[in-house]
Amino acid sequence: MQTNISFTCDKNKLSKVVHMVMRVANQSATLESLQGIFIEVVNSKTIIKATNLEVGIEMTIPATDMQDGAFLVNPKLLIDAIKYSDSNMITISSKKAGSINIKLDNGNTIVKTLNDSDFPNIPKQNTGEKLDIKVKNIINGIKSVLYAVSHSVIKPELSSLYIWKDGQQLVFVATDSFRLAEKKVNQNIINTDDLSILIPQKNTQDLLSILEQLDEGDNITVQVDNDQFSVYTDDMYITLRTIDGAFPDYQKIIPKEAVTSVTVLKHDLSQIIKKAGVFSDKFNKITIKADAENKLITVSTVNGEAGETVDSITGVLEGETVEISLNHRFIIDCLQSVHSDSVVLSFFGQGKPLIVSGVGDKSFIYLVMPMNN
Amino acid sequence: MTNSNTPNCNLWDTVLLKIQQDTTEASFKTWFKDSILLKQEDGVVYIGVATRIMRDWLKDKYYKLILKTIRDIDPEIRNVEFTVSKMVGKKKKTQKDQLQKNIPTTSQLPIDNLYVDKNDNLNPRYTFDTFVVGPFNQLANAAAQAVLNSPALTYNPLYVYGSTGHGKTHLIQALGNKFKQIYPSKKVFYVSSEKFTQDYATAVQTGRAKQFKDKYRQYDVLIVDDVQFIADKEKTQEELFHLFNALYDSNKQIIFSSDKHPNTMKGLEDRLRGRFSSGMVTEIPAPDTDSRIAILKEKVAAHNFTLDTKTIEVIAKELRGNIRDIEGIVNNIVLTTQSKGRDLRLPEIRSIIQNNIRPTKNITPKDVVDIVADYYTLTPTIIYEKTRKKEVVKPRQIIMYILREDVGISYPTIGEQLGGRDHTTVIHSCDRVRKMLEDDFVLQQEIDQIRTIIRDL
Repeated sequence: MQTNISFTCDKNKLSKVVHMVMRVANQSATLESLQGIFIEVVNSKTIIKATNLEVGIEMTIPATDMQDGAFLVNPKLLIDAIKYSDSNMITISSKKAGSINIKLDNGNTIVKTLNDSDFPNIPKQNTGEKLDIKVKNIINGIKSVLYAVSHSVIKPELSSLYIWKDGQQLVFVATDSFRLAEKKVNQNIINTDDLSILIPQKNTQDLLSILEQLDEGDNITVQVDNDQFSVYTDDMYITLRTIDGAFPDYQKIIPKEAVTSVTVLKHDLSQIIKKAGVFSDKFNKITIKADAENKLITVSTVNGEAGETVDSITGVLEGETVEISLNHRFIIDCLQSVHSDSVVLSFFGQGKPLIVSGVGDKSFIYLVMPMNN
Repeated sequence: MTNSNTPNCNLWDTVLLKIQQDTTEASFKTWFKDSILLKQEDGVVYIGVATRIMRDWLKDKYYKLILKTIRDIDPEIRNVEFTVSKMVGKKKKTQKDQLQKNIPTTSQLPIDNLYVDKNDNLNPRYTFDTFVVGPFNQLANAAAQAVLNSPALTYNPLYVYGSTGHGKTHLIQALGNKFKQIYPSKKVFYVSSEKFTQDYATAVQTGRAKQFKDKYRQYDVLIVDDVQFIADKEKTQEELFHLFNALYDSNKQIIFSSDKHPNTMKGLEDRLRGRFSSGMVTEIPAPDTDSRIAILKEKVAAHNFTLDTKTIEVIAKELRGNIRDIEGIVNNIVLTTQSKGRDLRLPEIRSIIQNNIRPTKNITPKDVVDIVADYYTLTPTIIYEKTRKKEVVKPRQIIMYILREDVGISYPTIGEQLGGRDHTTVIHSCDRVRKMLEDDFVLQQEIDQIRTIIRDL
């Protein structure tokens, strides 16, 4: 690759963009070209890229005095090299192969570059339907369910986030076959085509960490086709590999008629479950009882080594007394995704799932299977 | 991958080997390692890769090298195409991975039916890999394999019956799953007779009977589980009868399971009874001790857990019949072991078994008399009389045999109960039946069927 590159830009902006892009680069990749970030000046644009072959990102930064060329550099080294300076402007250029010159204030730094001969092209997405979505909504959708993704490699469709379109809403779903989380995000989608994709957990995590750097209120465009899922704004382009597979027909398995339903304050519930968690066994087992007679929710746990604890809170209760055991972490996981003050726990009987949702909030539903008594 | 592609896979393996020598290790690992040969057609080789980035890269940078290497091996090949394939990476799943799934053995229950395929209702959990074949289900298994080899030709319909928990559903679901695998273009559908009845009722109510008919007539293999539940449902039986004829006439395979032999199913129309028996009727009786040991080992291994041979033998001896009970006991033992954090001692295992066995129902001699008499279409009273008619003597002997063997009543009591007979008569009768059983296949079947009826009392 030609190396006579040169450009001048805002140091803080460069630093910020490198921070975002480097999340994708894989510093332990076998191939040296995939360890670094690729900086390129072409067509009067300064573009910073990285890819781990699953996810690719490109960002453009405003620059002046541009001269075409490219280099690949260790992002951490670049950031450290420019960190200790109060100067705003930075000029990067390359006079000979294998290194770049960084001009900041009156200093001159030479940084070794990496072998870029194997740095691949990041595929551009031209097909597939486009949707305009608020950054906030995507982040909310992903975060509400991502923790429920399976970490096993056996079922790729379960170790992926499932996104589909239900009328005008985007629906984010994840399950590890023990619990299932579904979040609906209102998006006034006009397109009528069906949409249904599976994004591997790791790729989703990468996307999330980049999106979180953006302004929440911004709009981004999402484009989906057979094997790619892309997100872009004027100065950013991210593309993720999606996987093929059939996500379970999960709507069928969500039971409808609750035997008992309980409404309690989210904070209270969270407190007693966390406390019970301290005393739970290595399987994180706690027991939740909805006591219809005394209108109490009781959480208890016994651990041969640590001790035992019983706590009760009051709540509104309809139905009969029911008691199930479950993994306390599974409940705590979902509470952060409930945005109302109170939560509804719906019981369906022994050996049947428990459903957690927010009061008056139909957008989030969480199903968790109990443990054997 | 079909068999016809296997030799071609070797071609790609050879190519990879050569390319490995021409590139750096890092490049090879990154760009080539997970690629697979999809197909070879008209001189074009189609290579599947995992991502679009890889596809573009191979096309841009390695096209010439790959083509040259391939042509060195097979000069007939003109071109190489790269595609992003979902097959890539899938073939790496090994049995070891499958086992790892079970590593965190907890009592955490999975979501029910999450994996059931929406198109065919089959649960992929049921496969022949996990199906233990022993002397008791050898015949049923052989019949299933025959169906797989030549669907709709050898045994149509295949009718599998046996008591609950003997593995009927496992066998027919595994059959469905295997069928899907062997004949990907064929449509399989699994339905319980209860669901079938409901579907039919809803279809009639909503005026969609035509759609119902069309839906079921499109399948190449129809599996109806627990068909005994359509007893006394005349309309559903009529519909099933017509459906059966339609499928049968167009050479589609039909598979039924039930807890009874067609001949002993009550409330079933004769024409349907005839259809059920017209193919292959095979029973899955209770597993024998050796099979129980094998099943136990399988279930224990599924938990990634071990039990010593002695313990397994004890469990297999004490637990008779139902495989579901065996499963329950294994779960219980695994759980108790985990909570105690040490291996269980034999008495502890015995007590788990004692607590989990369902109490055997009290079967009175009168019940047995009634059932056997009914089976041989006799009036029960004639059994108690002192007649030596051949038609009565045989059932009476069978009654004595069952009362002795299965219910465990003493010889003198049996004699007393059956119209005041001497205990030596009873001993003689039992011995006679035992002898006859050795080579009388019909009698074996009859007794098996009678036992099924008694169990379901």
